[in-house]
Amino acid sequence: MIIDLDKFVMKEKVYWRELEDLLKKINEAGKCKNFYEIQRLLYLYERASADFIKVANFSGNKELHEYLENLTMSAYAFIYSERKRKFSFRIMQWTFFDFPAVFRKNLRYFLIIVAVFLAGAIFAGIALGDNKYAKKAILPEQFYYHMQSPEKRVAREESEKRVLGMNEGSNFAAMLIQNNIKVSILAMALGITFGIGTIVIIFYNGVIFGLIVFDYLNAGQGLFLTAWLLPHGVVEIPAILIGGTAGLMIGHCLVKPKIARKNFFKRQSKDITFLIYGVVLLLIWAGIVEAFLSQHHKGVLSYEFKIMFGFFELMLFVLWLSWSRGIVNFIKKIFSVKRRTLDDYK
Amino acid sequence: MIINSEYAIIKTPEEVEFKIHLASLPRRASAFLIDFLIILTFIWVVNTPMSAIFNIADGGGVVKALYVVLMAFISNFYFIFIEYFYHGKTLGKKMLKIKVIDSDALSLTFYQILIRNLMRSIDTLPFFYGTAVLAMFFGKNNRRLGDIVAGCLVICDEVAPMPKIKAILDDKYNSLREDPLLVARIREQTTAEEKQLLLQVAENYKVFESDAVLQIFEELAKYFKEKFQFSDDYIKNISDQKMIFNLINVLFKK
Repeated sequence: MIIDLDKFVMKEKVYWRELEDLLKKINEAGKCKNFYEIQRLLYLYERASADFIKVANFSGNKELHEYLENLTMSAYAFIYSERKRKFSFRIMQWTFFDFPAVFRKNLRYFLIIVAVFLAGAIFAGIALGDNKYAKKAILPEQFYYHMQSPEKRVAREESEKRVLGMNEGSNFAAMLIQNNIKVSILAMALGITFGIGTIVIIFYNGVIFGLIVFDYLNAGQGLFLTAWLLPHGVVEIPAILIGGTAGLMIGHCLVKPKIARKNFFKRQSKDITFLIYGVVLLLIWAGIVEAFLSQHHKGVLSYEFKIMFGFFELMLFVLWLSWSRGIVNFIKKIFSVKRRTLDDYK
Repeated sequence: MIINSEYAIIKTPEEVEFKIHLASLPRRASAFLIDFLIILTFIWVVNTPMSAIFNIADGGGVVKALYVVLMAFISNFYFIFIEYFYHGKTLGKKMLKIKVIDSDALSLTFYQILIRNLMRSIDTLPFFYGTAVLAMFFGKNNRRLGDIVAGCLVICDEVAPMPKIKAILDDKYNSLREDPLLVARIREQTTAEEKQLLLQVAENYKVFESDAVLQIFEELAKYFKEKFQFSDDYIKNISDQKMIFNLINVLFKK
């Protein structure tokens, strides 16, 4: 079939114009006004698609081809896209429903990451037990102050009675938050290396954590260590591990053969977004606690208080992730005004 | 090694295949440079007075801490929010006429944009987008890692206009062109509205029935004959329709 191009264009132009105008109108309004418009849009789209195929197959006209391609594609995008909802800040919804739900849904990834982290810690413990040079070999330069023996540090810090001021403390917190968020996002992004990068970075963090923990335990400073790490570690470590969880999800998308990779990514992107949101929240809290609470030792705050605080936090944290919906509904139930029934009036 | 392709192909449920023109690496890099400069300028403009204020206010305390954290992530915020609210375009992308779309040519979701931009932290490694460039060279569809994970494409954003009518503007013999003075007069004296009318007629006359078409051209020919006072030599033995087409040819083709 060969088409008389000019005649064809003359005949079909009206419909293309109409589709153009309709799309413009609908895009401005964000939706179709009535049923007629929907019907018309579909008809015009199908007509334009048919014309496009004709032009693509039976005519070498490049301009017309491009024009129709553009037109059909914008109609296609409008018809098949998800409707965009108006962007609204629903922080309560995100924090108490979406994030915990997504976390629970992807719990198995989180458990794998926790296992990797613990493996790192245990590896460090074994390495430290055998070799006194291990600490020096593994610890990076930024932790230079752990290079000294734990006893000395404990003695020095316990004698110190200085309280971090608001100024200093908030700057320290800012630095911690910034740094931790970057590490978590990196752990997420490294998922693109089929999850290997994520596992390496989590394992490495586990090694450093284990090194310090076993070093202090060997020196018999368990109480100091718990009081020092518990208040912020309870939140900070899971937060970074959740970043790793997101990375593992990306890695799993890459190796999962059954579902089309593209669609799988798209489905996971929502989950990953909520995980990152939760991570940011947690790290902000952890940074504040670390700057204002964790760095104050015996001279300022009693260890019992710090450990109690840590456990209290842990309890809230677990409750939040496991039962937040129930709690919110419970609170709503308590505070909501009881609807009167007929019995009240009797 | 896969040579990076210039077009991506998308298939709709109606079995229609689209070829999408992908944005090339230099184009994307220059768009990024413009965005980068905008961010740098913004940071500089905001930072100078703010640091002065913090110096006066003895450190600034909590406000400064908040400020530092915000500024550290400002480039992420810029890309995420501007891309979200401007439908896949940042200022640099708009200047270079490229935009981000979903890999099925559907509209972008917020989640895709967020992840696409968070993946920058790895695309920038080891220095100045080294990984991204490698990924674009060796992968399909010119995508950096962030695009792959978020399911996006970066394409050229040039809207093709409706093509003009070729039949009337061809180089067939045109009696009106015999007289250069007449041609000049026609071009000078035709108003914008008349031009618009002629174009619309030429575009759409085939929609009408043949009787109506004859009538339209008769009326138009009468109007323009009166207006320009053509001498008989130039319009002898040709139909009204042909005369109008000659007129359009003179007006729209140099």
